[in-house]
Amino acid sequence: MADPQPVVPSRIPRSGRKPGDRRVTVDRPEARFFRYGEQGTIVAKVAAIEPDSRAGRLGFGARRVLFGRVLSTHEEMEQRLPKWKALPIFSSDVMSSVAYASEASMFTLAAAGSVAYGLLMPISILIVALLILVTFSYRQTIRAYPNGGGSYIVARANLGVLPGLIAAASLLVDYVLTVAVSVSSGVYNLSAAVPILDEFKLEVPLIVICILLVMTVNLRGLKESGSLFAAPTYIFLGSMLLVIGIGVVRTALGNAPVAPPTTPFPAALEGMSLLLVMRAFADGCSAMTGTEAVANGVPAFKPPEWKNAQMTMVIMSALLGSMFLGMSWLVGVTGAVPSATGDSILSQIGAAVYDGRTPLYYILMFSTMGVLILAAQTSFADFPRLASILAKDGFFPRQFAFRGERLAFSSGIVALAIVSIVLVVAFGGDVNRLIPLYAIGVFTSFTLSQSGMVRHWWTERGPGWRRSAVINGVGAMVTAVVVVIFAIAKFALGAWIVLIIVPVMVVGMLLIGREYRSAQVELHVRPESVIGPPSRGQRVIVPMQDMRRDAIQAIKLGLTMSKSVVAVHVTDDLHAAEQFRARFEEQVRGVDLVIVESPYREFVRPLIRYLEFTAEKDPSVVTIVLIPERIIKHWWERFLYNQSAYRLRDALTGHPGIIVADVPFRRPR
Amino acid sequence: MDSLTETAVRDEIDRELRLIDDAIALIRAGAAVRVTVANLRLGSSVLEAARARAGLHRLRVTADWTPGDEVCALVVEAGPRDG
Repeated sequence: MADPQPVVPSRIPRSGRKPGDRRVTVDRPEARFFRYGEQGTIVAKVAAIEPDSRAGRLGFGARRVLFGRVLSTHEEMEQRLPKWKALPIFSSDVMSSVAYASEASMFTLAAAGSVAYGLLMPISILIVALLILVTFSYRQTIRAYPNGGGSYIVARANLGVLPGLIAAASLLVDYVLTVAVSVSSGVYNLSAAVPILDEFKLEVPLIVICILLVMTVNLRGLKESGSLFAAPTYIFLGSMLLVIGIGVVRTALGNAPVAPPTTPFPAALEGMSLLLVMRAFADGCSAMTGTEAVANGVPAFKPPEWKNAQMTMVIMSALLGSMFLGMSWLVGVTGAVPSATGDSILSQIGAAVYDGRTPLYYILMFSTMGVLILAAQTSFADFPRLASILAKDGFFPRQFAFRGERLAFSSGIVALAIVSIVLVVAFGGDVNRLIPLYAIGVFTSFTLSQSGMVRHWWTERGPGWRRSAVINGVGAMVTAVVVVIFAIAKFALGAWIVLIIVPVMVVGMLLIGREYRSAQVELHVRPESVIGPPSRGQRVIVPMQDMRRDAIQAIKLGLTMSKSVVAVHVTDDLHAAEQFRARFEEQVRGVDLVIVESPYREFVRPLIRYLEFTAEKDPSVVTIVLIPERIIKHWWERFLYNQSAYRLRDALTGHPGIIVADVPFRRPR
Repeated sequence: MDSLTETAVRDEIDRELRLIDDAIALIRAGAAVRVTVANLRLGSSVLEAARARAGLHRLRVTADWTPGDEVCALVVEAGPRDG
């Protein structure tokens, strides 16, 4: 729809009240689709992006209801997150892992008998020490890369493209797994409390619905997802701290909580070995997945971004470390053990501390289920952001770089949801098999990022660079050791799959990069080149099957472009062709007509051949083929019109020396 | 035609001969059996040259032209060269 109002301001001279007075009225009419911006620019209003068709308007309206009003780029700052909203968004992944990390270690230790549970606390202390180290390392990264210091950026900037892409691929795999595993865990926890879900096999559909829900909320924008998901995460945090606090107080007062009796999980017995301890350590390390989320998302914070991100990172790690140690300590105090009846360690501790299944116990359990599902939120915050950075660098399809109507990276959000759903459906919801793959990617990216930071400090050599380099260096070494531990301990359990997926993704991204780079070279305009005046030396050809207005319109256009316009008519009926020719010679002047007789009733191919011959014979002259095309208003019209035009365009597009241009013909009202 | 300068006439003849060449190439490739190049302003002037070019490929060119017409058409098709 054309804007009926003019948008260019006009200056109207007027005479003043007194003789000799002169003034100018600047008429700046407000248009429906545009308004005036700064420095004489014209800014499109929301109305300018509204579709014209009824179906398009319906879709647009539905999106408004579902996702909210369209946000302007200028509103980006208002979408930034304060610390209290950023904490649940970026930490729901790490926080949720407290619910299962200790238990995961205990399941492994169970193989060596209950005496091995004594190792849980030392392992937990080791993991928290590692967490502190990684936190300090990332604090430095955030300061050094205030525009987003994800592993990819740091590794690429300091170690090169390949290490950067390895870090990126590892993280992308991890984000997808996080969504699939965490939402599935949450739903299966819920299914334990609500048996009807299991009875009617509703888990997988419910997992899919949950992923779609988280996707929808994220498409509304980061700020809204933060507002919506903050409450469940804070309730979980409160419940965890309360259960640990009450447990500590009760123990200090000599009334230590005791877990209710349960049937221990029948683990396959094996002797205590270094490999077993390494596996338990690796399982516990799953608590650290998502630690890098804050560093990746620095630009999402309110200014000063780096300071707020650093503070959020420290708060997140402090809470994670306290809860993780607290849970491991309560395991020892209460005597909770992995259960054969499905009663989780957290459930046993809750029942022990609250003396049974009280309302506080249920708040703890339901908030745990909620936070497990919301752990996907961290991935939904970071995956699209990382994908957008990769797209801007030319290693991902470009659409991932664009922000949607709500300033969210919509393509990345939708892609993450789709891949996760495919994964969940393919595994029938049984994603526990994916857990061994979980953390190896994250620790690979930790190692690459920290190594990159060492190089960064070494090159920059600013004040205190030695201390910073040592912190990141130790971080790199320790996380590298963890990667090796993972590889050894989890290789046979499925970690080998990562060794296939990550290289495949890296090769894919390199190929995309090569493609974009070659396109860039092809499209590069040399700075010294000057575009000359209009030339009419090109050859214009108009395929013409009949004396019709659409073809005549194309011929008229051709005559404005070139002195040499040729109409080409392909026929199997010489008599009709003669009539056509007579009419053409009568009505069309100055345009040559070539009639190609095709007795085999094939019209498009001879035309293509003719165009190829003309283009190949004189490659220095550009052949412009003007194809009349009827404007389609309804979907069913596609089957009735333009079939030859589509075929011709498909055959000729990209042919050297030939430019194909559609000449749309609007049906007269 | 009266308004055409000498250079313009030469350019027009070249252009019309190029169209004949395209028609010859099309028939030689087997993509068509007969090609009519119509609405030629200097068709009568290019006829002999067109015949010579077509003859090299054992094709013939016939003129479809009535005296008094402003334009003429040349038909290129397979067959012995016209006398």
